[in-house]
Amino acid sequence: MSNEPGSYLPLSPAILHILISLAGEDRHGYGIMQEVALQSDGQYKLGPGTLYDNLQRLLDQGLVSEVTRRGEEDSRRRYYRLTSLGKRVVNLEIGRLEGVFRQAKVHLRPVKAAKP
Amino acid sequence: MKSRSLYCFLLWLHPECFRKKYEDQMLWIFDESVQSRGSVPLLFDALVSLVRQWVLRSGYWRHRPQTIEADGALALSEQLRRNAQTLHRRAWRLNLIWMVGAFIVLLLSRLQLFWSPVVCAIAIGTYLQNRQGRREPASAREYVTLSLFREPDESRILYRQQIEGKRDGLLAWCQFKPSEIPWNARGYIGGKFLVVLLVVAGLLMLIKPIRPGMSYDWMAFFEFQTGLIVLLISWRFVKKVNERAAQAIQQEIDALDEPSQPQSV
Repeated sequence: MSNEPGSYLPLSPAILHILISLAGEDRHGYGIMQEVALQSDGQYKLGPGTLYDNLQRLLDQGLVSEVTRRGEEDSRRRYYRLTSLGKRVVNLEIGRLEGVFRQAKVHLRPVKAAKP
Repeated sequence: MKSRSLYCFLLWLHPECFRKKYEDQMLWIFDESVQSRGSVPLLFDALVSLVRQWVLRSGYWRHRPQTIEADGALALSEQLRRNAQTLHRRAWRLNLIWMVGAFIVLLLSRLQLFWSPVVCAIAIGTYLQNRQGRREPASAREYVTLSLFREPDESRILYRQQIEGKRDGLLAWCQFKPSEIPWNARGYIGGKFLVVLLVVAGLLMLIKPIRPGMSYDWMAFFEFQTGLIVLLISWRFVKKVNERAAQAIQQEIDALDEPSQPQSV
């Protein structure tokens, strides 16, 4: 995989949600799951298996990095952070989706208007 | 409590590397969210994850990349190595399935020749040779380290010999032309021998009904012929997969031969 952000697109829904959830702050796995559920009004619920499978891919691709936090009460909590490459990829994907959205609006408008 | 034990069991069935890295975190999430989400979706997710990790990611966990470049990109040599490894493993799996199919079809012929100890000996011999062909380098650690070394040394030469052996094994398994079979793999029985055996069996089956005064099992005849056609058609595909894997290994060998380039700033 190259360092070119465009080569990672399009992103799968799970990966997009994970990256967006990490855009604001570093989160642990459970935090990511909660944030994803919140973003989608509870419509998209990630399971731990799906989450960590995707996180492993993101770690390998360098879109996300693992960070250690001192003074955590639970040693099982590992935090994940969006890297600069990850940020660029998310921005590019959002731009791509905006384009898709615009196109959809243009093409779907006549159909909507034709309906009685 | 039962659902937690079942969840732990499902996690325990995951590949070791995945388990070591994520077991604690997944169990923690289970503990946190079982009240709100219920245990069934979480158990189902673990089950799907189990299938996913073994079916889709087994190769990844077996030869996990040890080095990731700072920019997140995998080193080219690492990519070539993984590609060669995956294709090699896939080719041998396919070879094994094809081989089992070939023996089943030979036994379906109900020809006395193929129920004899000779065939058993051939089957065992073929299995042992294929097992040798699938043999991995001495250890995963050595395998990874050797891919990273730049200066040739004894271990590097050994590694090169091992992957050359893999390449030759794949080619010998499916090549008919003696000139194309590497010298060190000439004695290899492989799939080509089974093809010859199948064709011989097919001819014997065709000759047998012509003999006067013999009762003939037409059901066996049609079973055998159908199996034979399927196997011979699939042989082309098997051959192609073997050649592709051999090519991938050759690419890795070529990459090993290339001198390391000093990085320009």
